[in-house]
Parts: sequence; structure tokens; C-alpha cells
Amino acid sequence: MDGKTILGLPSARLDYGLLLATSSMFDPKHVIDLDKDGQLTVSRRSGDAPVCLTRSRSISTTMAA
Amino acid sequence: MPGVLAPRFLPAAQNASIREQAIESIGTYEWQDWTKPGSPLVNTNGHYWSRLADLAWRRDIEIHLDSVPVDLDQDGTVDTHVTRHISLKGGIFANPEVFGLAADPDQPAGTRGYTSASTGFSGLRDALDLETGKPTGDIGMNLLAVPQWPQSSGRQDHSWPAQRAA
Repeated sequence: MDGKTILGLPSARLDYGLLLATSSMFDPKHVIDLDKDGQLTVSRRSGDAPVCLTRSRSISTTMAA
Repeated sequence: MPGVLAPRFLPAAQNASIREQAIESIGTYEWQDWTKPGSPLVNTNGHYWSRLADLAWRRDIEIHLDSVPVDLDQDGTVDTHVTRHISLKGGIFANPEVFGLAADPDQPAGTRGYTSASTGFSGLRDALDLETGKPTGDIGMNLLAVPQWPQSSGRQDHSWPAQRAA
């Protein structure tokens, strides 16, 4: 080791889960308008559906059309 | 390729060291709107995390989960419940230890390179506006510890175009 900072993310121990959890996508008030027509496409609904935080498909299980 | 610009080919990058290239390895700039060729170029990495995913780099964070059911294996049944409360004023950058961010003493926040500015933390860079040279707030994650080099005749060539021409 030369004492220099190791470059990039390898020198960090990022908590990706917590980092991603701060995304506005997971804000219950966040509105997703996929086709940009000004109409709600999906919004998060909490409390009534099983939530899976580990896979991308979980997004659909936590959101209601 | 139209609509795609690799920062390492910018004139300002020609004098960058390998180390600087690695630190600033945040990927390409591309047209923000591909349905409108010629639309402003944005760094896709930074734009994604900061505009689309919209991570809370600097805004307050309030995450409160109370016995939220979790289906870990997606079999339709609840496997466990999660309870966690996180309240972080100032967002990610104000609470680096919580997220595992490492401060970079060699790169104080705001230190500008040829395509990005330092956030003060290793691996996270603020993409510069290609026209104004100012930080955009599009903060992306460093891609590689070693920059990608241009290919030449099928053989990896570890020199800059200017060096090869000399």
C-alpha cells in the first residue's frame, strides 16, 4: 500500500440498501407518471400488500394501479 | 456515436493522469431526450441517481417502517416483519457514516476535474455541465477503479491519442 486513498467505491462500505431506500420512488407520496400524460400511473400503497425489499419485482407488489 | 460523448475524449481530459481518470470515471454523457436529437447532454450515471432515482443526497430523510410485512422469497406469504426508524437531517452527505461513505482527503468537496467535481467522498462525483463547466448536481457513482482505454487495432493501447501522435 502506498498510503494513497484507494480509488472509487471500493474504499467505501456503502449501505446500498439504505442508500436506495432514500429514493423518492419509495416515498408513499411519490407519483409515478410513466407516460408523462399528467395522470397517475402507479403510486405506492402501504399496509395492505406484502413487501419484498430484495428484488425489483417487489416494486409492483408494493404499488397499486 | 451520435448523442453519446465519452468524457475521456474531451480536450480537457488529455492532461489528466491515470489516477485522475479513474477518480472521474462516471461514464458517458448522452442526449437527455433521445426522441429529440440534439437535446442537452447529461451524464447518464449522475442523472439517473440524482434525478430519476432521486437519492436524498442533501434533503432530510425520514424512513419509518412499523412491522411492515416482507415476502423475502416472493412466494406470496409473509416471511418476516421489519421495523426500522431512520431520521437523518441533511441527507446522505450530512450523515456519511450511516451510509458507509468514505471521505476523500485528497479531494475536498467542490474540487473540479475535467468532467466532474468532488463531493468530498470517495466514489461519488458531481457531473459538470459540458457547456458551463459548473457542477450540475447530477451525482453519480464512480464506475471503475481503472479507466477504460481506447482500443487500437484490436490491441489495448495504454496511451492517449496525443501521445500516439507524437
